[in-house]
Amino acid sequence: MADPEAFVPFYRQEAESVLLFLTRRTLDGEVALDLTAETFAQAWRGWPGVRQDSREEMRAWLFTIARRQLGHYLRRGEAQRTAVRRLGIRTPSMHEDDLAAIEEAAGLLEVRLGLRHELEQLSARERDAVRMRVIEEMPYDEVARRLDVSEQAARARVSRALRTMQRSLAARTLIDGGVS
Amino acid sequence: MSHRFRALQELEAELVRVTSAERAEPGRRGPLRRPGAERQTRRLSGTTRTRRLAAVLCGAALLLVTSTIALAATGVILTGASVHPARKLTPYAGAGLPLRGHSKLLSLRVPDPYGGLPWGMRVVQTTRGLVCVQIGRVQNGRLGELGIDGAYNDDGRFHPVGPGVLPAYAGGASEGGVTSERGSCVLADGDVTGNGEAWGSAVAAEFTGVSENAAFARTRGARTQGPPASLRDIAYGILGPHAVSVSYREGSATRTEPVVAGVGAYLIVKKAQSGATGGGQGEAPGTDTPGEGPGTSGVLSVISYEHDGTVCENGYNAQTGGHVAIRHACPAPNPYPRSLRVTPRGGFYRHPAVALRVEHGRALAAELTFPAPFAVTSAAEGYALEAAACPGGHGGGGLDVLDRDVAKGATVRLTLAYPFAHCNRRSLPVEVIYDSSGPDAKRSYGRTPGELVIANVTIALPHGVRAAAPVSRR
Repeated sequence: MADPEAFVPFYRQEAESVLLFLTRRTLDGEVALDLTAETFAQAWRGWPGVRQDSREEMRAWLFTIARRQLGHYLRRGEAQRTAVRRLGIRTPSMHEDDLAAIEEAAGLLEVRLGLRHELEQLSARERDAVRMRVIEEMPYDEVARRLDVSEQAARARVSRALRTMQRSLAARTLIDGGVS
Repeated sequence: MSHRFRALQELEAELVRVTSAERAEPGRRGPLRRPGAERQTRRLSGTTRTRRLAAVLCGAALLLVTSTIALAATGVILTGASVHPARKLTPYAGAGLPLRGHSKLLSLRVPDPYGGLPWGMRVVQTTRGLVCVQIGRVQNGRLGELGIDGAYNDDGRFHPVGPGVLPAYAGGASEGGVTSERGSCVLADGDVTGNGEAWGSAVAAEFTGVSENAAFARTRGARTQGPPASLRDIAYGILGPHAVSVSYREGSATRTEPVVAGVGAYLIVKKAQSGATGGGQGEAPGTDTPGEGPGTSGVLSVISYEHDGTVCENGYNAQTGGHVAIRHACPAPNPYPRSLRVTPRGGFYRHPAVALRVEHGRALAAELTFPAPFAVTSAAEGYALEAAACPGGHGGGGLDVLDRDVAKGATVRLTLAYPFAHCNRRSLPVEVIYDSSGPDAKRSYGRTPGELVIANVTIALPHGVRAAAPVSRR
């Protein structure tokens, strides 16, 4: 069982890694800060049950929480704030100086270039589908109408394209790399 | 260990506060479950679990209702996804990137005439020498837009807008500035967001009939206007360090508000006066130069400046077309601040290569390439291509502007789309201009200061090739 006194030092050690990890994956420093706050709020809730045996295990546990927050955000388009609200944590505003520094530290320019490169590698049909669904946020029925395919086919096309991009990006260590 | 990001330091302070309080008083936060309590729950019988579940669901529903009421009562709006730039930003093209340490959310807060979050203003300086003003609603010290009136799928949330969400900037010193509902950018001569000591440009803009979401929705099929009863007229600007106050008309009354010291910022949000719902926009009268403005239209009627230790005023009554009563008129500015000296044609003159892009026997575009005689290092400089208009000025005057930095001697490529689409002409005279600003700006004879003609070319339509015109999508 982890010592409650050790939580804040743990935050000091890991907060920046978590923030940069989330910034690389959301491409948005402000969203990443919200997710970081929720990650540590949830970590505090689970802290009494954590074994403080090795730092690596604790980091793995923390990044599991962070990934869960990220997954929620990517599915819902908004950061979960359950634990933050429950604990009464006021999430700080992102300072504008911070934002540029965080995006630079997270290497967002390279990530964006990587995304652009992968987007260009897709077939024109897949690229159009991703652009409509992800960038222009069209509902699937509209994507299907514009592509002149069934809604099911539109969903499949977007899903296949995103999987392709994800695999390529992971290989380039943009998605799953750079945890530390 | 201290964090290099201030936001993480502040989050740490919050965590210290929360964890200390809970360690001192472990039971104070009911919803927090401790591991022991979790194990106890698992040992409950099935019936008890069902009852407990029903109670939890009822409690959750009640909590949801009361939370919603509480949030509505306090005016707190949930935060949604941040707004991203519409296009990828680079430090060397377009408006550039926000310059680190040179963006500032001003303390200015203006209530909305229909209630809700106040309005605020951010001033951003960019890597390409522009100063940009962003306006929007403010919550928790962040500037953003609201997900209503068709924006953001009507999610009702507050969507933060970072300093990187800049208005598109077409580029070129002749552009002077750009205005959109989301903000305005103009060329800056000095540091306006540091200490506000230096200043060289003013931003002023007005919008009428703007919907209440303050935002300028990108959602497909979004209604960009709210109901007429909730429309606003918005005027904003930064008038430089000499500005003291602005006066504007509101109904039959005239109101005077001080501007934000240092940058001379003002922001006026009021109920739409005219009932127009077109979302009209235009440049407001305003300038950083005492003795100029306000002009012949717009909300502002008087701008007061500090000039040589005294306050002077400039005014104009847009309704009557005459000057308003001014007690201490500012002296007229020098009407010719820049040199009128003409630069004769010299080593900078170029002979561009011309390539026609022809598809299916039709000329789609003409591309001019030439080595840059001058480097472009900011938005204050640039190259532009201007095609002559048809006789009588009836269309045909095409334009292309280089909106990125370029090294001296590097190849500049400018493209004229559908060059022969108008007035059945088969040859088209074009001029290539080098735009610049500042006291040393060069100019050619017959051109305004800052416009230097560096090439004259006539593009001919070859025999057997026909003109192409843009295809109308509707």
